[in-house]
Amino acid sequence: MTDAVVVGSGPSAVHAAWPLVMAGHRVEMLDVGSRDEVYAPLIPDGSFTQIRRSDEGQHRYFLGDRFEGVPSGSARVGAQLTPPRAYVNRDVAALTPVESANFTGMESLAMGGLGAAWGAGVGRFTEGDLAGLPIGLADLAPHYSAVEARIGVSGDDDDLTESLGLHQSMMPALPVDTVPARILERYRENRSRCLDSGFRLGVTRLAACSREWKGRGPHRLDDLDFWSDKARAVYRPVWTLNELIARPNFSYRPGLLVHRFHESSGRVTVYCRRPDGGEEQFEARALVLGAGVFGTARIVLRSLGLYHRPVPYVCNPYTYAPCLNPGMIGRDVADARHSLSQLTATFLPPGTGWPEMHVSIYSYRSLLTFKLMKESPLSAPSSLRLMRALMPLLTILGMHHADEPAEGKRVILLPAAAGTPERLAITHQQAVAVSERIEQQERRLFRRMRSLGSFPLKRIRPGPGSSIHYAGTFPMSASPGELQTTPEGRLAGTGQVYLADGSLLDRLPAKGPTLTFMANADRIGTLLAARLRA
Amino acid sequence: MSGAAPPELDPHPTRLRAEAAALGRHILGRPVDSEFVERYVAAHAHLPLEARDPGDAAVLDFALAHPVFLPCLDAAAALTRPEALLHRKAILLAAILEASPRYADQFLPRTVGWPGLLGLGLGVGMTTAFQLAVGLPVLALVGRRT
Repeated sequence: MTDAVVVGSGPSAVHAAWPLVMAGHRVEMLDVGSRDEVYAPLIPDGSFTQIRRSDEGQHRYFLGDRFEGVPSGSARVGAQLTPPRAYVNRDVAALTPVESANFTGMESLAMGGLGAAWGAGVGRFTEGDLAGLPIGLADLAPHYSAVEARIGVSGDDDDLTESLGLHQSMMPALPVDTVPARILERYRENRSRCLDSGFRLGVTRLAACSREWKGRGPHRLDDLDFWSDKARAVYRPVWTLNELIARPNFSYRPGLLVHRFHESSGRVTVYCRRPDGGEEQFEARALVLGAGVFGTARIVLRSLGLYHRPVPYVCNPYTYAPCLNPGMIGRDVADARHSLSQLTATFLPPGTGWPEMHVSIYSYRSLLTFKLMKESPLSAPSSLRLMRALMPLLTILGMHHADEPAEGKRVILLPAAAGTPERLAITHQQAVAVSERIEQQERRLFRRMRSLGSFPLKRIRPGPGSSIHYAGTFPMSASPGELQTTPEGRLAGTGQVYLADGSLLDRLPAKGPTLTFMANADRIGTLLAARLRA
Repeated sequence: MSGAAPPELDPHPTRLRAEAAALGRHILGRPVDSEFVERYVAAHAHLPLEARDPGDAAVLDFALAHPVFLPCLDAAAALTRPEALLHRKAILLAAILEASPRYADQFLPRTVGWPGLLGLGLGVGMTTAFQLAVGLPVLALVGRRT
């Protein structure tokens, strides 16, 4: 019997495992663990532009051997998964089916989970962001620091600090690309007016190395973040997993889909399925579920036999908008750049009582031109001529809104029935008042962007689930009821089953939650390590 | 396609080669190399590129039989039926051409000044207006034929 079994290998799972392993406990990590074994080795050194001009084999990784990089329908959730990253949601539809009329989410069974394709934006939660939870910022602060030191964070102490905090040993920010740099310049010229309107802008804090950090990085500024990362500059959970694998008291078991758990006599038995249909089981003193919000919900509800039982969830509403920056017409743009979010804005108009909104600003030059041509209402050659000229002028705004639990947002595990596999049914109904508030807030944001010389062209709402930020299924409570968790992450009614992912937070502010998921997982792993030692 | 899983041969590779040649001339204004034509044929073994209705197929057939109408039909389809087979196939060939050093420069972003951009906008606008004036009625007419 091992000390702890950790399920999953994503951002939460690896940081929950870390303190357990460092405390000397024997830990087994069970994971499906899909990987890319085809494309990554094909991508040569060089920048995105250099490779496009020189590599005869580029069609294999840009388009895919099965042309999976050429989308056949309209833009969908996961469109950013280029062929080298398509393994991130491989087998998900078959092994973890979802039924929903309007929710299109993303899950992962990959080694590193959704963190394998994460945008790497980070920010700490404030005390206000944690309101309603039985833990405060003081509980999380040391774990933010521990995780930040582990993953490496770059950024500036700028106007975002009020919302995102300061990070442990923050490396200097990565250079900002030409067009966003112009927006930032105009913001600085109009700073007091922007601040008065509740608009703050700064360089995106990234879990990416601007200098060498624990054997990783620095970022090569080769604009290949959607395709490869030979310098390992951007944080991925697999870097932590590799460090764990090097430890003698840690064992990684890929090829296993955890099905359910059973508790008896102070031990937990974990039942897994192999791809060949066989079963394996593991016994441990404690179980830590870090399989992602929906993955963990399946395991918990199935293990407790709670089919047809609704549980809440939250998911940030998400809108994106291409913007034209005419101030850049005729100006050359730098080739040395990264493809991640360049700038982050927070927007909280005073006197409105609205929740703060978070906006990521990207350049649009890191993907192939045909993807823009596909969205254009012009013939192929006309859109090609126009898009080539417009691409250096484009930025993309990715707008995230806060979310709270509501009656219309429920997850239900449905049992297999004749001809239909067991599946997770997800319902999503957003209150009209919330939709109206989002509409108004985005319009006011657009006004502010126009004043900075960036003109939004249209709004695209990919629909519920598209933010890929999920939480709230088994929230922590000081006095947890059924299907809630203790402040230590233990599932109420169980003795040794701990949850360590987004399931524990009852609501989501607009800012990216991944750093907080990792810090909270580190907290839960640390508390469990002490408990196991006792 | 080097290194790719061997595609199942399309039952009509000759027709697909003719499509690639016509679409290549449409996009680049000149014939494309045979290597890319074969890659276009191979893509059909992997992608769902069937006509969605008989009218969709008829538009593609008409455009190939009368290449002079191809730009007008593509413009009309992109505006009114972006999922039309003709337009999807044009985008597929564009993707294949773009992902090659031989044609990459014709797809890479380029810096254009105000006069160039205005000229480009005017040129594209006038071309599109003409193409739509011809293409919309032809698309409606041919698309209705089954």
